Amino acid sequence: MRELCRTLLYRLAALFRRRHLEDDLDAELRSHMEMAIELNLRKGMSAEDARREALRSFGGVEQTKEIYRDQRGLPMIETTLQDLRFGLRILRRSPGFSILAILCLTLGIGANAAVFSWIEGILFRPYPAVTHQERLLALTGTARGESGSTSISWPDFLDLQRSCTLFDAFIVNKIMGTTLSIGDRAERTIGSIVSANYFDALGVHPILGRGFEPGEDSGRNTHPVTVISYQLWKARFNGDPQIIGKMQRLNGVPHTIIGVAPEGFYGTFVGWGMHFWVPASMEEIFEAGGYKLEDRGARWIEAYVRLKCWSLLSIWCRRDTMRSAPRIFKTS
Amino acid sequence: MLVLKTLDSMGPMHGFGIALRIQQVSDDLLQLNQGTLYPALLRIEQRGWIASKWGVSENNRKAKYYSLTHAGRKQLGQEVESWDRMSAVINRVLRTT
Repeated sequence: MRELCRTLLYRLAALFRRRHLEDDLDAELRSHMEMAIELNLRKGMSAEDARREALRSFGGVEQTKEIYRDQRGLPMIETTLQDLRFGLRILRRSPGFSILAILCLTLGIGANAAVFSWIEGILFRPYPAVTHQERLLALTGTARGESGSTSISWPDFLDLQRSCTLFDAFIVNKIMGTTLSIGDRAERTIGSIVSANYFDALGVHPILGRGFEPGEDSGRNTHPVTVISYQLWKARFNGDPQIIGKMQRLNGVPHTIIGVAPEGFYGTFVGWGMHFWVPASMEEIFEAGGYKLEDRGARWIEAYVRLKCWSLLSIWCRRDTMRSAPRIFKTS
Repeated sequence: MLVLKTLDSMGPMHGFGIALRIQQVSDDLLQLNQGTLYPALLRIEQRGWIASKWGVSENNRKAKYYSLTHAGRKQLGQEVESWDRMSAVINRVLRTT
């Protein structure tokens, strides 16, 4: 083992002293030849014969050198370096072509990187700050006589949440706009109506205050509370550390600010940044069409589930949700 | 092993000397190309069994002298021993009727 290390070190060192070692080898072999010739001369050979005999008994000089070099350094690295040098020489010989080629490669790689990071942002990891989003799926419903998919209703959500065993999280949310008035300024702001487990299920922890508590999404206009985004907190409330507990009018109804979402959390709509979240119990304030939490026919909310694992995804999912479907429709 | 043994009995020696010596003591039975000696010397040196130094030969020629190191002497002892054991075994097998 120690010998192996020594050999490796020796070979590595040889990489950096190649010229010197090459001269060394030349000198050594030359001295060998001279001594051999001298000996042969003393044996009474002619100068020509002495030389020929010395070469003969030595064997191939260049061959020997080649074997010697392989043994001395690290041939793989040396040939790689040689190839690199050769490549650079070729590139330098036709600079126009080289620049064109390099330009093409740069553009190609750049474009690829751009597209990939875009795709990653949109498709693979669309929701910053959400844990395990690779297992997050959107759940849609279908209705008889209608093509395409629809959203789901609140009673559906409750039933599915109760009866599906494949998900470790099941949330719903609905994007909506509202008028936010602070002092004498009013502006349109985008927010979400969500189920009470929203923040817990996504693994998003408010940096101030709390998320919604179980039960805050039931009832009719019973829980006027809101969690605001980090951006809104910074921009419209100047990062007020005493923000929790203050009132904010949303669509004219006073809401208590109970939490501030962490920086980088924008909600769960691709391409949109949410600025506040309210529990589903406040639905009527923000949605047209009245109170819908008890109406199974009102398909107004989008569902997301996080699978426990990816295995047998489609089959199991479908079976599990299908199995609970008859129960739902029997009750409706 | 031959190289180590040669250096052990002759003291520091240059490549040509080692080649000559090996040829002589083997009564020219080992007809190796002298050139093959040099990669072998390098390999042994890398393992730390011999050391090399430039010097001047008896007739004033510059030559690289190889000498046995402490580790080399130990290695020679081991190799001789294992060779003895090996040849003893082979001998015994051959003589058994």
